Amino acid sequence: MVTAEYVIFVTIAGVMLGTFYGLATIGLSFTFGILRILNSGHGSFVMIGAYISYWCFALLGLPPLVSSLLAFAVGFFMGFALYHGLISRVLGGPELISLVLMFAFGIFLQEVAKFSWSASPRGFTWGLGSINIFGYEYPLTRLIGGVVSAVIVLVLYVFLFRTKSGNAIRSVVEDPEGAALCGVNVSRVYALSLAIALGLTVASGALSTLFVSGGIEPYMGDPYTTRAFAIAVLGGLTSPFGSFLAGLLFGIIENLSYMLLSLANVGNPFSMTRFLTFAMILLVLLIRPQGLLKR
Amino acid sequence: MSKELLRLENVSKSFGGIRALNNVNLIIKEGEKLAIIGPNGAGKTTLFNAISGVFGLDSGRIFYMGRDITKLPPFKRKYLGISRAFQIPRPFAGMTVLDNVVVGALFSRDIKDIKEARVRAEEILSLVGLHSKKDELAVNLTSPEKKLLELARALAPKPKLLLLDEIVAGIPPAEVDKIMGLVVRISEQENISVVALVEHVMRVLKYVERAVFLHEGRVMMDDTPDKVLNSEVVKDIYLGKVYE
Repeated sequence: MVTAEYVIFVTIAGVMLGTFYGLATIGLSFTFGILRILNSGHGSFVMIGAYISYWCFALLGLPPLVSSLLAFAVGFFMGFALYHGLISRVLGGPELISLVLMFAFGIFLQEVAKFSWSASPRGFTWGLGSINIFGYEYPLTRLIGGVVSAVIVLVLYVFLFRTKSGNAIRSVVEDPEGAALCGVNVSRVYALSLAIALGLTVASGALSTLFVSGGIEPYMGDPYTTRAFAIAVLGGLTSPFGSFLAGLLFGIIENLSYMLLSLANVGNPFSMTRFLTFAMILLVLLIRPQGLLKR
Repeated sequence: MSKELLRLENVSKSFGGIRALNNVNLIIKEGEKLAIIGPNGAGKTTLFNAISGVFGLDSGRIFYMGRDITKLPPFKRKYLGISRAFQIPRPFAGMTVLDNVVVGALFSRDIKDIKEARVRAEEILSLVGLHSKKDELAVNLTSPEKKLLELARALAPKPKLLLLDEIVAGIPPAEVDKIMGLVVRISEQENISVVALVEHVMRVLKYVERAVFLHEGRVMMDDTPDKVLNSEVVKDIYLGKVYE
């Protein structure tokens, strides 16, 4: 039986998952919008975040909320190092080079993770129990994961619109040459943007453990790459907040279609959900090929 | 007489065998308003690019407020107070008018934080008469409004030196008066030196006190606008263009 309460419950769960998806995608469109680099190794940074969360919990007893801050710092540092070590050398060159570079770096991270921590999946449970939404049990960790993701995106918004560096970043998105003439140090903006983008992505990896307690392994990032690409395209690719909105939509659609598939009892709802969600994305793109937020 | 602001010493720059700037010496004083004139291809734009730091020089040096800035990148020169407005405005299309001017104001030695940049941006927008449009996206402005926005963005950082790159080209005389009137008023209020680069001299003649005539990358004359325009050198090279 589908009751109104059940639909609302599934939608709320979808919103929580969606804000997390949004956060896990925002770094991708941030990088593309500002540096014009498609981070084809995106998922590997999510994986690094998940491991950070795991080790912090396993060794130090730190909950993912705390380790996500550490994860942001790690991603931020990686972004700076990556920019000055590699990206700045290929910037302005053919796009294929940066694409291959990021792809290779993603594989490199996977292999480092495998070498260091083996390929066997790990997991942990931060037992906080559940809350009751209209008679349905919802894990508190997921609620926290969704809310924290939304808060982080809000902070990013405030940063972009209210600070000096944020304004510099936005002007570079519009026109790097024009920004340089306005006195913006464009190279510094590139480095900072990559640092922020990877910081957000690694942080989202740490938060992913709030939604999925197991399955932390070196190749866990691949589905995130696929999903993030789909969501980013849906959001218009260059618009971080378009991506966030698209992620939100994606989460809701994913949950609702899972509910419908379970009810319809056709095939395995879990694998069918992905089919349905991606079919939905194709449909949306047919109507709005420029992405959700683009004019 | 007022202090020297900018000094070019023996500045040369070639592009593929063509000497775009040939041993140029030029001094610009604080608060001075001058026009750089010359026919198409005289090296006017190259001169502006050299001052704002778009490329390195082949030889020569540039001093700004006594400091050698020959090797400084454009954003640092902007920070020190060298601002430029372009013939074809290129605002940040997807940002609001106010944010455009805020970005213009932010990166300057004389603006300490974003709060001050906002106050300054609002002030300049009022001065150029765009304040009522401050929340509109720049892409939605009309083309004269975009010119005003370009000017506002260049004036926002409280520059010491304003480079006007053909800002009055292709606009009707009434608009020229409006824009140049604004430039004169604001530059006098804030003691900004203005260098206007113009092909059609007559249009800005009455707003400047000095004219520099460039031809084939050389400074041919440097005097009051009247004297420059009536000189034999200029007439020989330029006649027919000036009095179109």
